Amino acid sequence: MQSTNRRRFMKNAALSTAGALLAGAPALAQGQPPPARSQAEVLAEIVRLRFGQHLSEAQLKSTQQRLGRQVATSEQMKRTRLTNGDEPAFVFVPEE
Amino acid sequence: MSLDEATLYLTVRELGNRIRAGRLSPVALTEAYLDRLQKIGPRLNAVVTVTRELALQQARDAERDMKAGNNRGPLHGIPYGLKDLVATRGIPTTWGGEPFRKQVFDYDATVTRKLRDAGAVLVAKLAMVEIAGGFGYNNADASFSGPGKTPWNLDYWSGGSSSGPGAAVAAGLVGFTIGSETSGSIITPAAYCGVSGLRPTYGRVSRHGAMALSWTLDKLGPMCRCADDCGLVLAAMAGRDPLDASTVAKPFGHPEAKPAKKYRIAVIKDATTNIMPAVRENFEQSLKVLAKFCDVADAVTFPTMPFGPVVGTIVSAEGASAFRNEIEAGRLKELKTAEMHPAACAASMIGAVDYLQAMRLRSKMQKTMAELYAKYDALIAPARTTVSYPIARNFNESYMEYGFGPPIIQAGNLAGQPALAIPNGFGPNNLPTGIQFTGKAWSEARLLSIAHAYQQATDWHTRRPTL
Repeated sequence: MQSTNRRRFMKNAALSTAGALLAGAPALAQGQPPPARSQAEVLAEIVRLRFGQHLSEAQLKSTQQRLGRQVATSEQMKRTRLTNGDEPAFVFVPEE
Repeated sequence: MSLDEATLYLTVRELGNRIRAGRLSPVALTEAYLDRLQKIGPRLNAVVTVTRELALQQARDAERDMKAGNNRGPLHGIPYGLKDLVATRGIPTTWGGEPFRKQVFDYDATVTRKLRDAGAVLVAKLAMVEIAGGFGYNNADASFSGPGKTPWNLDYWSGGSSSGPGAAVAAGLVGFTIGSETSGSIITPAAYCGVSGLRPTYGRVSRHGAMALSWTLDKLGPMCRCADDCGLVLAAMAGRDPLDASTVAKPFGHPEAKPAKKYRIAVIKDATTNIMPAVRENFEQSLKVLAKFCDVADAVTFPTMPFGPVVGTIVSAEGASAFRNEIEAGRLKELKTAEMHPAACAASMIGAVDYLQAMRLRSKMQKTMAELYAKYDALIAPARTTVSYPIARNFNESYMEYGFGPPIIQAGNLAGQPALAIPNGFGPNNLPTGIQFTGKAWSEARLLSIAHAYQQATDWHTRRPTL
């Protein structure tokens, strides 16, 4: 039973972030789903993986707060409805 | 021969007239500005590199050419300064940041070349907020050269990120300067230093050789002691450049012919709501002057669109890409602003879909702004809602009782539209206030005409700080 749960978990983890993988393992051992984490927390884990050697713990904490604001900004931008035909403000021009 | 201070504060047009008439030597003028840059520049933290040898060589060349009858135009023999993100061959281009302090390019930016071809004399590379403030800063002390100071009161900020260009013009250290704006970096120091600063239409001036923070938002523009001078300088800088695919071959003529009818302008609604009283009072006085030669229409409501989130996303995402090497190597840790490095790391997490969301919203904003401006020669507002900020405090600890007004700067930059800030009085602590003229794309000549008419009816732009 535990072996089957680990296979299912590994398949899901391949589609999610490394942070979720690390955090979910202890809960899985008890057959529970991984605890819900905010987008900012998960993104902060990626920042830690990519840039952690250059960031102090205090900076990682402030980065997570910034990421929270970025997530909120993303949500705010989604509130203006766009349709499939709304193109971005740049045009690709092939080189002659 | 030493020159008096009054000469050093002359406009570019008048300096050029005297040079062409043989009454002023480009060499003497350059030596005087070099002397002033050395003596006063450090007090303002305005200067990174004084280009003495190059300047004197260019000044001698200009004098010789002029005597031989080879007149290159209004900028011939005029000393100027470049914001230190514009490349100059063999001379450090430091981008205001410690990690780039020894950076030297082996080529000139297009703007550097154009101004040289126009006969202008490069006297200095001027201080700026590190990497143009790309990932945010909350204090004036955001450069290895120290906090930029407005010459009107050394306890207050010059504004940024073109801190050195604004201060150098206001203090009479140069004939004119070149600044840059991604979202506010010409308009703000123009307002806080009491000078005339022009943000051209995106694509008017080549960005080749200028530090990229945001490829789709960065613009280079003149900062001068009057609007007329901004027109002379822009004429020399503007034009299609094969090295910058964003440039457009749109004609620019200055001065434009006076229109048959009065200029049609309107105030941006709510631009004077909850702002510093002196800024409001000076703006209202400016309206009385403008009404003499403009039809001032009813106030125009600014569109309600997410300008702030969109410009923030674009600057952050493009900046994180432009500085990707430095971010991943941890080099931004060396910047004065400790928060800049973690902010850049966070910006690196903006997904492509979010960036494209911002750029798709931007298309809608461009159309909305073009429709808003279609009926007017200019929409006007105070350049900033307060006077400059005290250096001793963080920005978010000052002027808490005032708002920021409608997002005019963000919207105008997103739409690629031009804006011109000029001084219109003084507020608390002897600090200048400003008015901004914003217009439709490619309308710089019109904005300059309106501002020039205002400056012919007023004298704020002729005031000099006591240094």
